[in-house]
Amino acid sequence: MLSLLIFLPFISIFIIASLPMRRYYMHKVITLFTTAIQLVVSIVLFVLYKPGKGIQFEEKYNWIEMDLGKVGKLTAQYFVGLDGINVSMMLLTAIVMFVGALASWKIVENRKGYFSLFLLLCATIHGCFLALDFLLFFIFFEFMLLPMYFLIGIWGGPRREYASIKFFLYTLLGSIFILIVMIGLYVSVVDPFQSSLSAGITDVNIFKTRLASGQINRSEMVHTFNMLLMKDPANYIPGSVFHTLSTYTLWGYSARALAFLAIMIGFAIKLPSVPFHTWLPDAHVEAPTPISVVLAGVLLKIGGYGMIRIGYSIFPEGAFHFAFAIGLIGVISVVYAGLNALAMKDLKKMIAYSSVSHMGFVMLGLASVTVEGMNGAMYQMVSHGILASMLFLIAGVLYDRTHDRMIDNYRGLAVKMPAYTAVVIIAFFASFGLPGFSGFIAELFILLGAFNAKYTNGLLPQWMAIAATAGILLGAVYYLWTLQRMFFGKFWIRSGITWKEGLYDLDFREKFMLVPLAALAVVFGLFPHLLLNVFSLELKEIIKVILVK
Amino acid sequence: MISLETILTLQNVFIALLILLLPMGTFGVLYFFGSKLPRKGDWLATGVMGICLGLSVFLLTKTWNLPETVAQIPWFTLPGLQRDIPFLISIALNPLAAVMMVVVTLISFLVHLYSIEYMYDKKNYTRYFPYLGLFTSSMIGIVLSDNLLVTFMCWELVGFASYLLIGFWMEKPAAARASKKAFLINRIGDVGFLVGLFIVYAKFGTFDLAELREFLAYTGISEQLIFTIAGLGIFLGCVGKSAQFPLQLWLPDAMEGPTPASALIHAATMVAAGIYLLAKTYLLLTGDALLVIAFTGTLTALLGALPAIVQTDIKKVLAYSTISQLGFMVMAMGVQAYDAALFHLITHAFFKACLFLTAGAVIHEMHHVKQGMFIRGYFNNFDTLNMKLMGGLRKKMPVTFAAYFISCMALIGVPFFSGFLSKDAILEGTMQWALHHYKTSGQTFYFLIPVTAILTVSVTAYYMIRQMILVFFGEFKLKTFYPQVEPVFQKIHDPGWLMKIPMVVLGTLSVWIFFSVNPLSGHHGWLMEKLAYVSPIVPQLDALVALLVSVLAVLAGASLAWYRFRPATYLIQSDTDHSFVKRLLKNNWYMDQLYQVILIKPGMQLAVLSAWVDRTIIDGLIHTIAYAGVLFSYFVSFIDKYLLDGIVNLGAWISLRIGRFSRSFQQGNVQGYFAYAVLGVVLVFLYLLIIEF
Repeated sequence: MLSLLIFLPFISIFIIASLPMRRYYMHKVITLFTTAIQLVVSIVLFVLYKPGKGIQFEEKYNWIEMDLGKVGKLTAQYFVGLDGINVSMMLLTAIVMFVGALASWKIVENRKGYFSLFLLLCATIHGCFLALDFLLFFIFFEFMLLPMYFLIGIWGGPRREYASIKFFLYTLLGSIFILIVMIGLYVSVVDPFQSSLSAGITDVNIFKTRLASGQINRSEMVHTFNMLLMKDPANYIPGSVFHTLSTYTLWGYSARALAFLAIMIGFAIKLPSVPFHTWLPDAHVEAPTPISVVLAGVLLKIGGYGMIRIGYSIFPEGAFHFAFAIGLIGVISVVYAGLNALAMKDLKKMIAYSSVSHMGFVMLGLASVTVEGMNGAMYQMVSHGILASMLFLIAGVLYDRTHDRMIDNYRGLAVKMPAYTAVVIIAFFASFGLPGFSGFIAELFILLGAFNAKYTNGLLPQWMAIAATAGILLGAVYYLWTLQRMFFGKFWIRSGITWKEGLYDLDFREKFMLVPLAALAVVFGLFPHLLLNVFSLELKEIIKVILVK
Repeated sequence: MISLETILTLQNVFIALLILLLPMGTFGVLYFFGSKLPRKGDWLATGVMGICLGLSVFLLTKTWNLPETVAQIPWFTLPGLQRDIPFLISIALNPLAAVMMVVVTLISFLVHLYSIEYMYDKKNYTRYFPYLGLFTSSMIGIVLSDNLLVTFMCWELVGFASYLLIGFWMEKPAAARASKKAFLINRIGDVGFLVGLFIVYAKFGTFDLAELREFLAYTGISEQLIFTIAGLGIFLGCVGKSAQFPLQLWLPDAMEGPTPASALIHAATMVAAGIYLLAKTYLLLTGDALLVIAFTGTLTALLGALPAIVQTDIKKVLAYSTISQLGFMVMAMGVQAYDAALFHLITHAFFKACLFLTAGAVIHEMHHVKQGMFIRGYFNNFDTLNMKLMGGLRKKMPVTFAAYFISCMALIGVPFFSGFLSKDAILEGTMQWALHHYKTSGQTFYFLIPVTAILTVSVTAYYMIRQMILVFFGEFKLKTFYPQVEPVFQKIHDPGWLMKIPMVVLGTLSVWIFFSVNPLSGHHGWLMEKLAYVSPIVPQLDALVALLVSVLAVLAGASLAWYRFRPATYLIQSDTDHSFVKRLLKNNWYMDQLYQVILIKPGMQLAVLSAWVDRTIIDGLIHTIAYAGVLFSYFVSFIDKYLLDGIVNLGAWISLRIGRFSRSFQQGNVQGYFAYAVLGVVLVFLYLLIIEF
């Protein structure tokens, strides 16, 4: 089932590639159809997934096996599976990619290339969320850059080269940090099951005790990239870099602490958080609408997902030690990006900065290491995925019609486009956390967690939560101000803006994208257990491990 | 076995939920399909509201004599580390909630009825009724909810509905601005509310009021700073929503909304939600918090009343008066006259709604005057809300005047009207409180509150009598500018029955008899008796003193206004003195300008600054690194080209030279080769010789 999600797009790419250029309509239809199947599969998986029952729907095949003699054995697996952390991300990806495919309907240049790359993106994002093997994860993570680079660089706006190279280099920098940690982990961790086989020990526990006491030969150790095995300190080779008792230090920090920091920085670039965020507004402004939707809707979430999956799960003590710093960066992101959004004159740029601000909440929630905060952070990722998709679609609707996104160039759009205005009002209010929409639940939990941390684990000071409420206030300010300036008042439009076919209201396709997203935001706002049930148990385990340290 | 009692409780809860959900249903139906319904579904919305009213009255009779019932409906649970944390949607059915439900649904129903006539020819009629439904539903949510989180959610939704209704005529820039302002200022209050919620959750681990009541039943709230902060945080929410100082400045602007909506939201119900919230969270308020609340309310009462003296806009006077009256209620809460505050909330809801509806009728007629002038060919875009252009409407609109008169008397606090009962109770409360504290602490500043309150009562009488005279007595002043307006003026009449009925009903409900048999005291009326709350304050004073003071204050203010405005010649021309005080009052203490200077400008500058930091510093740094990288690459390529390549080239050059040199041996003739061969043999021979020896 899971491999279907990852490999179906490849089949479609093959079909698209073999179709002639002039059959461009088929390219769209195939892409849409592929994403629709993925959506259906994801929904089925989401429904079938049983919370708290460990890894499900797993598929595990040996992929690379090499006997390196004295150094041990190298293995990498094709290992995909669902657990609480990625199941909601999978659903979100499927939803956003489907919407993205619909939003791509009006792409005109080189459709064949566009849709092939889009499907490639689709496959790699799914792969990235589903992979439980670090190498596999990393390959998907890196591979994602390729389609993104070209999608922005070819189909983007006027400064697309600058934006795409900035995006590419920035993310590449982040992945270097992750790569270093991955290699270190690989060197340190052995697969106890395969190793005990190769060492001729029948009981894994006996193997582990022998491993701990150093009685296992190096040549018999089977190194692994399995991220689940990396969680267990008993699988680390004594004396290796990332062993819990490792004595390696650099600048006074232990190797594990540094590894945690490297992971957090690597994913903070992706998230993005201040001060690593400046690639995002540029990338968003230049990217075509559907790519903006995908970027804000899912790609950013890989940052938060990676922090939980790798940072918090594999290096729990880091989460404990660096809580203050993470929380601080989160709060700064919330407030600073909110202020930036307020100063923006470009609608899309404002939305981009609001994304940074909202993702700052994710970091704050994670930093709190409380049940409320962590669940809120996960919730925020899903919620923001939905709402950011809506917001970028909204910006795209206007851009499609006039090729101008400057807030000051419009007044009183409500008169000409009532349905559009209604959707904008919903999206804006949902985005700054009106109760009844998903964003409220997420941000409430994050703030509760951040505030409560002082009383439960003492990791965060209370002023952080209170400072972050300023972000909520700022959100209301910039959204309402934009509403007032662009949509209310007498209709007026700056002369010189070329209208394509007049400012017609939403067409059916646009409604078909926006209305279900709005409905989802309401559903997740009124029935939080739909999502919470899925990941709360898993997160609880992670918190327990962190707090034991 | 389920007992009969449980079934009855269940039935009540079910009815309450029905009242909550029905208006939400109309919102959904009318919002999406309203344009397809006959008459845009206005009668449907009104009918549903009528049903809600009926159900509310039924519920009131059912629950009046029952003890409070709390229904806890599980919403979702969060698996916590020690225990699962339940989040509940709790509903509390008690007499207060039941009465509030009746008040909300009754006024909402009447406003619906009124709006059918008032709004019908207006733009965007389709959107009006769904918004009212959304508002009513959220408001009932606040009334019913027994969980602070759910209350907060409804609280925000009410604000959202208010935003939509203030900005209803969104093509008017002023309306768009006012709606934004209202929401943002409320948002400031809500942030305080949120912080209060955080503290409650952190300290008690629940948002559920029933559980909190259990926790605090015996000990009461402890006088710690953190609880004071929590209480004040929640109070900040009330400050925003109930337009208390210093966040009161949104309410006068909110008058940009349609008048019936103003009557419902910005006079009777939503703005009173803050007081209701204080009542709900009364247990959480520490002594210090109550003191702050009392003084905030008092200050608001006075600061709200004074600008009303100089306003010329008929609705603005009422808006300022609402601020002032809300101040009275908050003050009463602060001085622990809990029952008086809630009593005033309810009486105020009726007479203030009535005042707004009558004002709406007047505006409606003024609008017709404008249209009539237009038809007669002398169009003038005069302000239909300007009281200085009105006058003499008493005889033209007798029903409107009667309703206005009753509710005006109630607002002023004249005996035999409902407002007197509640206002007197508040005044008495403040006096008792001040005396009590004076006796225990010897501090005299406690008397500031009753004194200010009495002063405000006089001011209230003054500005209301002024309004009544300007609007209903004397000459129709538009005529002094346009004598031609006379035939149009003659056509002014009472509105149709759809607008008349609500005014008459609300006016009637502003008479004392509905609240207490005794026209001079509400304490033993059915309502106040039920709301009674065991106050720790020992009465020190005879109630008669308060009564006398109250009547005297009203008389003073009213007679002053009568003396000043009665001479009928009070015309616009006489209104040219622009003294500082007058300008100060006219501009609501220049608070807008103050906020502009201390909050908005610095905020925007900070925003621009951070955008600059982003572009220049952060991106600048990144660009610098990028350029440095490029420069370094050039340097490396220079080394590559001239140093490394140079070495390689040098090697190549040397080998070339050697090649050339050795090529010179290849002459191509046998003699040469022979000579070299001989030379070679000689050299080898010599070498061997040297090695041998």
